[in-house]
Amino acid sequence: MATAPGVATPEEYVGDTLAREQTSLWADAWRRLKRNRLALGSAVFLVLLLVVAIISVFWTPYPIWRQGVAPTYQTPNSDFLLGADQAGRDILSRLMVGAQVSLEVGVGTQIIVAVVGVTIGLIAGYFRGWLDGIISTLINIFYGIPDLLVALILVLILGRGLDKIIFAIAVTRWMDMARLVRGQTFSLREREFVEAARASGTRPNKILSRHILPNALGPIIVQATFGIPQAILFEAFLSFLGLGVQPPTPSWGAMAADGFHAIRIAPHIVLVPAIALSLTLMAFNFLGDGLRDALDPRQKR
Amino acid sequence: MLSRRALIFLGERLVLIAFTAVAVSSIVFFGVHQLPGSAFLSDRRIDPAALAAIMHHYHLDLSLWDQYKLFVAGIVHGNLGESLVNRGIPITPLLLREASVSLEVGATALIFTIGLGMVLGVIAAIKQNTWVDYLATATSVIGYSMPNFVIASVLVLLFAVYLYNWSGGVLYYEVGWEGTYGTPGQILLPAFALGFPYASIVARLTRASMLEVLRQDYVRTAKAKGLSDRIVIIRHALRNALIPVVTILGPLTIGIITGSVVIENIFGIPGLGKEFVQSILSRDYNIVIGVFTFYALAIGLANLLVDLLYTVIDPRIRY
Amino acid sequence: MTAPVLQVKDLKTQFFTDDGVVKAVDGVSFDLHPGETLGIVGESGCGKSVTALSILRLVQEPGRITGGQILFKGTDIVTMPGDDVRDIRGKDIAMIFQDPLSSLNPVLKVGYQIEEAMEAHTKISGKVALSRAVQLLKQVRIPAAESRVEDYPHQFSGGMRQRAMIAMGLANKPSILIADEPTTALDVTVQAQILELLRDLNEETKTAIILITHNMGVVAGLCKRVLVMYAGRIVEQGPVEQIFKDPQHPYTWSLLQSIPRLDADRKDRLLSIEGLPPDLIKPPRGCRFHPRCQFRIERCFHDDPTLMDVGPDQEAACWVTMRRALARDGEARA
Repeated sequence: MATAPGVATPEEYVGDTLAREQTSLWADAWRRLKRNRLALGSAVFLVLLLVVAIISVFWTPYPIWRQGVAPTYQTPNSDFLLGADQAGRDILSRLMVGAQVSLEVGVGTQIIVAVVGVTIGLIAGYFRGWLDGIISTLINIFYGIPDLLVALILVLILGRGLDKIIFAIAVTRWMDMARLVRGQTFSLREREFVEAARASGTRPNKILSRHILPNALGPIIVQATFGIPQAILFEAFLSFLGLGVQPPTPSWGAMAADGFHAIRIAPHIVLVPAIALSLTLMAFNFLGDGLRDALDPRQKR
Repeated sequence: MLSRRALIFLGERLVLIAFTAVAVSSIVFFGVHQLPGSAFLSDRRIDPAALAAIMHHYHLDLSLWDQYKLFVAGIVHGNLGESLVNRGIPITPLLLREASVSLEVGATALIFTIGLGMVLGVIAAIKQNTWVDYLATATSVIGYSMPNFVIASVLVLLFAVYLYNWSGGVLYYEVGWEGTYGTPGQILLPAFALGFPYASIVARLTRASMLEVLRQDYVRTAKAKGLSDRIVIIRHALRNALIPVVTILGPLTIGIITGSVVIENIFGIPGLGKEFVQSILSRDYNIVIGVFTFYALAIGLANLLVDLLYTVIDPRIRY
Repeated sequence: MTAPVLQVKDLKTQFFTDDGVVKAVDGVSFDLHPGETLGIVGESGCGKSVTALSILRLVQEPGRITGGQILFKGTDIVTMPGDDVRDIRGKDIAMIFQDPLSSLNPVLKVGYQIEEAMEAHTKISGKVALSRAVQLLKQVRIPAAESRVEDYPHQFSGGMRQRAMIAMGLANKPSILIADEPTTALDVTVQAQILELLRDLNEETKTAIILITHNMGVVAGLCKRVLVMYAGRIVEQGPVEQIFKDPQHPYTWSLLQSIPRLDADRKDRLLSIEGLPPDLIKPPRGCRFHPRCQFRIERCFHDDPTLMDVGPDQEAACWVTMRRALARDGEARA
């Protein structure tokens, strides 16, 4: 562009103020989040969980698949901190690997959902018209089907690998993100700085990536944070029904299902994975609440 | 009572629901034909001639397209065909009976969900920023962070194990189901486990929408008229606060349906959800298609009910 | 003169916010006589609406009445038990609000909302209540009242909604009707009709009216007496004619200057008061108006004036008063 050096073009100027507003927005959000003890505690818990999951890749107290390392139905003691299951396998070891499975499913699904949902949402919200019509109809159709059952069928068709389960859950869970991004794009494209960019001939893909996406990032992060526990829950349902990851790879849902039959004699087998699962879901939900309050102070009570 | 326009609206919606059900079952029809395995392969040794006879009986010797035509012809007459595993068992009556069992548990769960959710939400809103509010809010976060099978496990542990031990074997709860429709005690526990996570969602939503409504000018007007707080809340605030809550009844129904698949298997309830998992595991694909058709109908009807409820609650909405 | 039906004595209402205590109403006193029409005027945020809400104890959290008395027929509303206040609301003192659309419940029929006002205070049958609602709608000049009672608020026009609100207010034949900016949300022609209706009703029913507005013109159309509020206090009061003819507080004077006039010389720029109303958490020292006052003297900076007699039945809280200010300006110019 033929402008004197040092003189900002209107577009750059707009971009610059926007960028500055953004930094202060994130700084503000971080400050608000730090004050939210529940969210902060949840974040610490999740980091610890991640560490445990990473450790479990290299080391577990006992081999997870070996049966009879402990007496069957062993209650927690100093050798087996969380006891052993009906096949005499060490529960702590299996729980650690289960954390790995849950986090992989949760984060993996949300990466797919974010890519697909954001793209679809941006396209529908920015171009509107028939394209939006088709996408919105698709979203509504997917909302109208019992997601778990479709995921179940998909897992049956595709097989029970972790990647296939992640894919099956993503297929039934992309709509929340797409709808959110579509709505954000819809309102952001009417804002002055987008109008200005459009008027100065900026190409749509640049407007979407430079102007709209950065401004919708807050809600997207919040949505993804809420999406992770949903995906984890889904995997737990699938494996509870015996259609999750292929045994002997442990998953919290499958561990709980195994233990359920023996709930009268050894409740710890079902309670340990159930509590781990609940705490993890709760931590993600509290963190999501905290992030939402931090990123959108207007919504706070 | 019903106007001509309302009747036309109802008729259109019912046709649309039926159409959706056929569409869904068609998709599932083609989907399950991609599934590996067959209901007959598990049979020990089978005489090729007998297998051919079976294939012929189920029209499996026809092309997929011809099978589909027969399927659609059946479904518009309400005939979902015959079980592949239990030969001679027609699917429609079987699923109708199972659907009524699921409805019994599901409706109890839904009533419980809405009742508990709204009470918690309203209390939290009225007592905003007091310990009551925090307790109600915390309960609801915990509620939707607990998978229903976890709640079910805890309930079973409490009622079937600890209550039994505590009362010295006098009081006990047996996981299981008697007869077709179970006993009230057998319905309540699974309904609670099924509904609690969603009650938490309803509570959150009610709290938010109630707080919004309580700030409205017409609530001030109602108070200025000299109405008691109770009447202001019940008559003026609650009804307006219901509008967003009604919106999630559709997704709530879907949630209860999917949840029932897990819960029915835990509690051994002979409903659609148990049938669904069983027929998937035994590759009885005709039943899998049938269950999906039933679910599509149920979701369609629930959404219609939601739209009708809107017109009852909010006079500004007319169809 | 008859005994006042309402006496407000040194009323103080404060909002306890995170940023500090907002002294929204800070020592307001006035009397209201039966059948009287009283205007309370001021910019938004001067405490006039909070004063009105305080009278019915409808101030929302974090607001609280912290001092003073509100005597209704001799009993103090401020210290009354909640149930007794509820008895007075809508029965003895009724109130209508600025935006009639948001002030009516969208999901209930207009007629029902009027009937409800009666049923809150008297045991009457549904049939009687309905016929009375129809009668009230007729009284506020709503055509086809018999069918209109069955309508929902969204089926009414803006003016009709405010008429319905007034009908609701009059349902129990109250001794006082408080109208908080009743015309602000309406079109100009409809505004005039609503004012005319209030004037007629005041004559027909002898209900005393407290009219709260930011518009001096609206006061002139309805009220006999006027209170001018600024920053939570009354700065001038007196008969409407007197105040309009001879305002003594510079704030009143500026408000009057800002009424658009058809007959005004076109060169006279429409004058609005410069600056913003003060922060009521930390009001300015001395006279609260002095930062915006063009006639201030040294004393105004540190000495807080109280209401003083400045004319026949007229009081103003000002060290200068317009009489002296204009005379001084005249001298200066001469």
